Amino acid sequence: MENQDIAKIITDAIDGASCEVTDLTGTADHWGVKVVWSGFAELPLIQQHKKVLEAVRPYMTDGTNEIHAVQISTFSEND
Amino acid sequence: MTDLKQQLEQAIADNHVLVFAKGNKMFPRCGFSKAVVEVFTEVGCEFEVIDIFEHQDIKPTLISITDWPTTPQIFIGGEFVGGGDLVRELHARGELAPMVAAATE
Repeated sequence: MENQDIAKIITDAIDGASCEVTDLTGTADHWGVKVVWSGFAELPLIQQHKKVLEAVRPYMTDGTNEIHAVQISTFSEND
Repeated sequence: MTDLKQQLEQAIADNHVLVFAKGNKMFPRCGFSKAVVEVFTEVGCEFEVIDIFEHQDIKPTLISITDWPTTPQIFIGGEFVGGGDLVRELHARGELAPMVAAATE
């Protein structure tokens, strides 16, 4: 799985979001995921992270296990 | 499965700050778990760590409680707070220490 695959999974799942994905360890399974989406402004932090996590969940340990870990950071506008 | 669930729920209720991690406090076996141990060490509060590898059913049972698919998972004052990245973000915003303080009153 590549950076852009994960970014697409998230932007497909969260309409209007932009997403930056970085490989944290160089092993293509620990990903840094920065998501900017206006809708986050109304959600508490835990719901913001949950929304991103639910998008990638089918690819995680209880799914295809292509994604081992994601480090999520969420922003409501580009700051 | 249920008594393990009850045991986990009891541990969650009994600890002001509880971390379910890969590895334990002295030897976290995953970067994200290690980061969480460091954050709470920095906050300087008491916290307990349960190693999910101690029993193979811990992780699926934990997921059935929180519906959160990844570890580490952190509970403060018996409430699920989120994963390691969320706790780090709370700490970066200076919101973590007050949360812990409120839970230990």
